[in-house]
Amino acid sequence: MTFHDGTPVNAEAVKFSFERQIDPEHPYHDTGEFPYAEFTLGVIDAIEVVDDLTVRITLKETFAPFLANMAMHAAALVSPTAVMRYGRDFGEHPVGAGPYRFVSWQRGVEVILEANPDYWRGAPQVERLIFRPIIEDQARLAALEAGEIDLAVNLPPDDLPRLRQDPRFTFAEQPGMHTWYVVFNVTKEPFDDPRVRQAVAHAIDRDAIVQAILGGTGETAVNFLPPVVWSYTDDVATYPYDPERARQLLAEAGYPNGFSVEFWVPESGSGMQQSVAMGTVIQDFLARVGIDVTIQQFEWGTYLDRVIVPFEQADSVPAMFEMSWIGDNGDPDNFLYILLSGDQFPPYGFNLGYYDNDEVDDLLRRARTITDPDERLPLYQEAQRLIMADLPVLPVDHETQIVVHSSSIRGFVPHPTGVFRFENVEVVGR
Amino acid sequence: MLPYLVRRLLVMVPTLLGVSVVVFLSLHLTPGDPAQVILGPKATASSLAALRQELGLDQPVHVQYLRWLRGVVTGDWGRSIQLKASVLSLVWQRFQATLVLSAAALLIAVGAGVALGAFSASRAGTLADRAAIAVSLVGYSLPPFFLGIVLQVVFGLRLGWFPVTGMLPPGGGGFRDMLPHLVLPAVTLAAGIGALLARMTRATMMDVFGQDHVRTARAKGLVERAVTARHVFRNALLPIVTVVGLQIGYVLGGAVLVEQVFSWPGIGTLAVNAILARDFPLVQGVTLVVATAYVFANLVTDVAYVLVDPRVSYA
Repeated sequence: MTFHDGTPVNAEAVKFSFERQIDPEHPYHDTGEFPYAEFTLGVIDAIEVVDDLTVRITLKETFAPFLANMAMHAAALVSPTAVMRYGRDFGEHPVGAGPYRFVSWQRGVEVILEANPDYWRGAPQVERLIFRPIIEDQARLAALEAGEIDLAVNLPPDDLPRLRQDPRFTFAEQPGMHTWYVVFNVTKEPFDDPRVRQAVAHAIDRDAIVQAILGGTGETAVNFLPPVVWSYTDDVATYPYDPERARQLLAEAGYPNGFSVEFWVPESGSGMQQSVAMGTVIQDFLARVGIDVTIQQFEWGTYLDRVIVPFEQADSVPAMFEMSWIGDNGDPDNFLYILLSGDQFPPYGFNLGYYDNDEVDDLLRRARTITDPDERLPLYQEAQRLIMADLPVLPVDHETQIVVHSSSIRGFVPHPTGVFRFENVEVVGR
Repeated sequence: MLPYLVRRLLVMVPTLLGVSVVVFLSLHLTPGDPAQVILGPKATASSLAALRQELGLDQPVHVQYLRWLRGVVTGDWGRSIQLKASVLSLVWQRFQATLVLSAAALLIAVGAGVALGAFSASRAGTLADRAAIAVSLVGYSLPPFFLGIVLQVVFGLRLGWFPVTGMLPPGGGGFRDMLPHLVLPAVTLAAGIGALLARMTRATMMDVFGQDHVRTARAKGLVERAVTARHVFRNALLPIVTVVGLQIGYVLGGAVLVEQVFSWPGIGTLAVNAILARDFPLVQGVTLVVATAYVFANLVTDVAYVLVDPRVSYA
């Protein structure tokens, strides 16, 4: 196996690719930005070349999701020769070993890739791939319908039923490794009381949101963990739409007449689906059980800045806000530990509502240090049961990944992580 | 004329400085950390701190500004945080695309608007005049993003006459390949200004028609066409030139919307993305270029007065 520039793919290349990212003293550390390095490879203690095709990686501690991490972007190998040659400009001359090699990048206009004839699993059928950023939903839709592009993502839900009827297009769908959820700031009244969080859950008809707002482009969440992630169980406490039960729980918690609360909503954002419309409907459902919700909207950059806040400033975070998570590697640790463990308050992790349950923490900590999946499974399932009974977050839906493409394209299969793979795609009848 | 031009060019300097200070301050007052936006919600605290230091964001605002200013003067406009390329080359490349779109739109607007207005004025009160007024009213009232989508659906999807997105076919091409791509966005951008110009032209020409020198021209036996062309139209030009000059600002603003709708790779789309990404150096660069273009357009308008109206002169 070789990289696109002929450099051999070997143990040295693995060592180089990883150390370049995690070792600040590495001579080529300044040849890129590595936002995912710490997250993906941070647990590595040492990398040793055993022979040409074997590396031994020693971790700082036992870390079960490590193998799953090895399938993430940051673990992709790069040609050491190319990094040495281009230095800081390597990002403009990326050289990997995949089915397609880089041709050009015209910023804001297009990225062009071409088939790698020497790909180790055989050259792909489609010779050239052109990626174009078309930011406006309607423009992307128009470009697809006019035949200017062959494949599009994130089309407006309202237009999907029409496209489904059109024989020129084919849908490729994949249940998402994604959860859209409402975070409760559990350090704040009234959401420090689980009964109030449960009342909110019963007050909202989540099926209606998925059908009416999302046009069925998601799956109503039963559990916080998406069904595509292993260890998922639906044997958890559930919260069907039941306004009567909601009022009862509110009364038990000491709020028979409801209460007022601020609810933060981003205008848009990665994985946030129809954030504003969904927030507005939630506001309306809560009004019906006496909870008076005031919505505050923010632009995404501002929003992240305001809700990812260390515990010491928990008071500045509202009682209730929207968030979403797209899984990185298919491991349950990547949802449960990172988003809900007491070890993961910002800035270390993404437990944004400061949920802190010793029993859950213990299960999650143990599960990430056991390498046998059969032993990890019961720990994660127990954690899911505890979490859903406590309800520190209200999962609303799991987005379905929908790619619409020209019917002359065959063999396109969406990947759960949202990565696009074209090596088995063919174009027919053209 | 020359001293006037020199003076005007000198006044541009404080104007642009003022603009850059205001933009710099307002960007830094906007919440949202560029490092957080670049690295995304999954970034760790240490990588955020490292990036902030690398970008100079850990320095006080005035230090950051002065550093930027020194760069601008020496031709180093900085590096785009998000696109990882020289700001100057990015801005220049995208500005050319916007210039092409704006120039085409102005050409269409002036051509169609003035023709429609003149046609209307010379047939004042007739059914044709009213129809022309109605057309210009519709053109003026339609928001560009809506008109853009309508044109996309009708001429792009239904009739298939023109491409609906981008400036060139995928994979690139030359000037000829660009022309079909230019039609719909240019017409969209032209509609509002063209309509305004039509109404302006009609009104000023009607006004001039009623003046003494026109009566004299008619009295001495000139044919109506010569009266309109030589005595009415020429006199009506001054306000039209003013409006065209003022509209250059509108064109640049409207281009932001039109570029989004047609994903035209101009400075508008560049600016919107730069702001959302908190790409400070890029936003600064874009603002500087747009402000310069705006100030320059005003200067050109003032110079054009002299050419159109012999009574105007600048000492």
